[in-house]
Amino acid sequence: MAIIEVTNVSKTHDDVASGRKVRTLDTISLSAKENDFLILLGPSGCGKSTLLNIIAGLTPYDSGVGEVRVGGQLVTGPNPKLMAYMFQDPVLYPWRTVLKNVEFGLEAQGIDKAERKDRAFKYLRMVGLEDFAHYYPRQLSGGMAQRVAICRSLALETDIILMDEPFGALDEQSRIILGDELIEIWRQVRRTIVFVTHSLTEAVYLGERIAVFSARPGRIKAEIVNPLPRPRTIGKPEFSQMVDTLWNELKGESLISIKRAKAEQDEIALPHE
Amino acid sequence: MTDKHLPLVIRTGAIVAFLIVWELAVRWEWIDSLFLAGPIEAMREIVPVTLAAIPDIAATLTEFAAAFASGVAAAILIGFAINQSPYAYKVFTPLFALGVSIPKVTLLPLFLLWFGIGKPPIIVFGALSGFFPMILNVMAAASEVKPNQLLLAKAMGFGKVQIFRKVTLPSMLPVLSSGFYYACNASMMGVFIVELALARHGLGVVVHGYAVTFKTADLYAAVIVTASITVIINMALWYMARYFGRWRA
Amino acid sequence: MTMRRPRPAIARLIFVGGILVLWEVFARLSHVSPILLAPPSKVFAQIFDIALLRGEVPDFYANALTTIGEVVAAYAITAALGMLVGIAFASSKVIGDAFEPVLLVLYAIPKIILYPVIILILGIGVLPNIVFGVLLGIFVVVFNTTAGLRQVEPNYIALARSVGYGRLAIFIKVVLPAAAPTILAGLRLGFGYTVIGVVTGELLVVNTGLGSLIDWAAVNYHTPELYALILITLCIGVAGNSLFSLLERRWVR
Repeated sequence: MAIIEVTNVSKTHDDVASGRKVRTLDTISLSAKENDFLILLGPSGCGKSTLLNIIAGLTPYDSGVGEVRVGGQLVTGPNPKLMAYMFQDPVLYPWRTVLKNVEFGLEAQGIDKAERKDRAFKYLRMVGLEDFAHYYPRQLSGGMAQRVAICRSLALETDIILMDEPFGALDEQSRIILGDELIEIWRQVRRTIVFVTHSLTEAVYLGERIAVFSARPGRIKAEIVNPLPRPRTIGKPEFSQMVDTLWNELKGESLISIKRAKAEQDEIALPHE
Repeated sequence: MTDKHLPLVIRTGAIVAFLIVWELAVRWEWIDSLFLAGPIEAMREIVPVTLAAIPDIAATLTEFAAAFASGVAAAILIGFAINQSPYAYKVFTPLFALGVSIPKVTLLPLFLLWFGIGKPPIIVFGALSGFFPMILNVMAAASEVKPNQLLLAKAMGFGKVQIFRKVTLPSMLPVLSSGFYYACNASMMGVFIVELALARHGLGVVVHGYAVTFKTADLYAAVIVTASITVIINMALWYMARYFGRWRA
Repeated sequence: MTMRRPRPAIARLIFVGGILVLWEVFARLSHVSPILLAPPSKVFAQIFDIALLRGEVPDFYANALTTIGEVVAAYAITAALGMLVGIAFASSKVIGDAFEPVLLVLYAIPKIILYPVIILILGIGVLPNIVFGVLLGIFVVVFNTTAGLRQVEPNYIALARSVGYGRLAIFIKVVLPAAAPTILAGLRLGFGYTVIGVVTGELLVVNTGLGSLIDWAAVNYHTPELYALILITLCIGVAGNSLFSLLERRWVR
């Protein structure tokens, strides 16, 4: 049974700058089963992050037509018992230590102090950061901070982890290393991961299934099952072939997206004060 | 002597040199001793002046406390209300910035008309002086709250009150606490201005009294005592602001 | 949302206008003594009278010029000395470490209690007002100059050095422009505090300038004149602030 079920979901919002209504998502239907590693891949501005936020219950969608169900229940708001959420930035609270940041989500659930600490350390060990538990975020590198953010999501021990370009701000090597770590953890703890990215390599390297988005308004252009066996190696012929397949789906959409971004840039009026 | 201590040595040397020049200026009568008392003479008067001024110190401190508390409370209330709307924020920020930089002291004669002589004008003017820097800091503190950090807390399932307590408030605290420091400084200034101009009691009056009667050594002693008290209070707030901002880069 | 909100600047004018209207209505309808409260219409009429020398206010222009002269003199010192000290602090770690704590402690003293001492040493006149203006204004100029210079991106300097500029050229072409926003903000605030210092001095020991006129109006219960003179004096601060905002917008991109 699918643990995440998105049926005919659309999203329209008022654009403050132009005063027009803009449709960001157009009748999206998508599902993920348990232990899935689903990639949402698309050009920038296609609404893939919006869809992730809708699944997370952080953003409302157009009422009336579609619906989003997670674990069989209609999504009406954040459900931290079921879903953990991760941003592109680590979003660590700078006044909290690494340990306290990992514990943050557990505090919301009223879990007692000792257990919070145990769980936090369990996952900090998993990413090799147990020695940094009492550091403050400003003392960490970008890759370390993102590892802490991963720990914080894992510590919630939810069935689902939603990740919005979690490695987007990192350099290439860190991305690969963290990707390997994430896969290793995913194999150990078997969670459902929905992972937003615009990187073809990352999509092929990590994903079990890849949903390719069109340019705005976002539609699912193709759903591709990734047959490559793990561990995968970047640059092997079959890997490159898979990247090519995705790129053929995506090329036209990216061009539309880039042209549109340029047109919008030219259109920007003088800001009010 | 290591390089580490060099600044300390220079600083101490400069202060000692200043005191010596000051003392010599009086000894060798570069300036009439009617107008300038030497540091040694002034130091000798500190204890008697302090003892005589205890009721005034108490009066000034209570007035200051009332002025500071009410100015800061008003700024926090209004500031948080305005922070609710980005539009109101844009409308009011320049007005408050102006409130800091215009000479509010010109209102003193009006205060005299409205409130007479006594505590009310001191407290109102002190509160007004502290209000503007505080509200600017309350409003600036709001932009320290990062939307992503709020969203994350929401995703984690925290309620509104908890989000305020665990995310909004800690984010704002460094800027808020430096607001306390600036407001305290400004509020004190306001209190002393009114005391000097039109009060009957308080440290400002003591200083003023010694000045107009040319009790120069007592005047310097009183200024040193007043300065010490205010510096202690202000520096305490300064260290508090630094403590709350310690997690920042 | 049916109606578009007015731009913030317009809304601000409406807000200030609203306060003036309320003030006018309150002053006319309430039974508050006209000695305590003058309606804005009378105050603005009075401002015209003062400007045209039609009222009773004595020697308005001479006094206004005195105040403006004091402000200009005090601000010249504030800006020049403040920036110089700031540059010294930022360019030498030893000097900075030695004297910044002293400045921080001096800043924590409400300067106003030094005013009687200044009067004793310098006597009564324009000089103590100028000195007091400098005393109030200089700190923020020093602090902002130091902070601005220290915040300059090291890469900017490294790049300039790599293409062969010398120390002085780097300071003028790279460091100063990069620090300009913070320094200008300090200069703007410093101006406001300098005006506050000068006017405070004028009001505390009444003898010169607009401060003495305000005191004259207050002791003689010329209430509309009092309000008008207060507004005129406040306008020096407002005008200076606007000028600096304009400069900041032009120079700081």
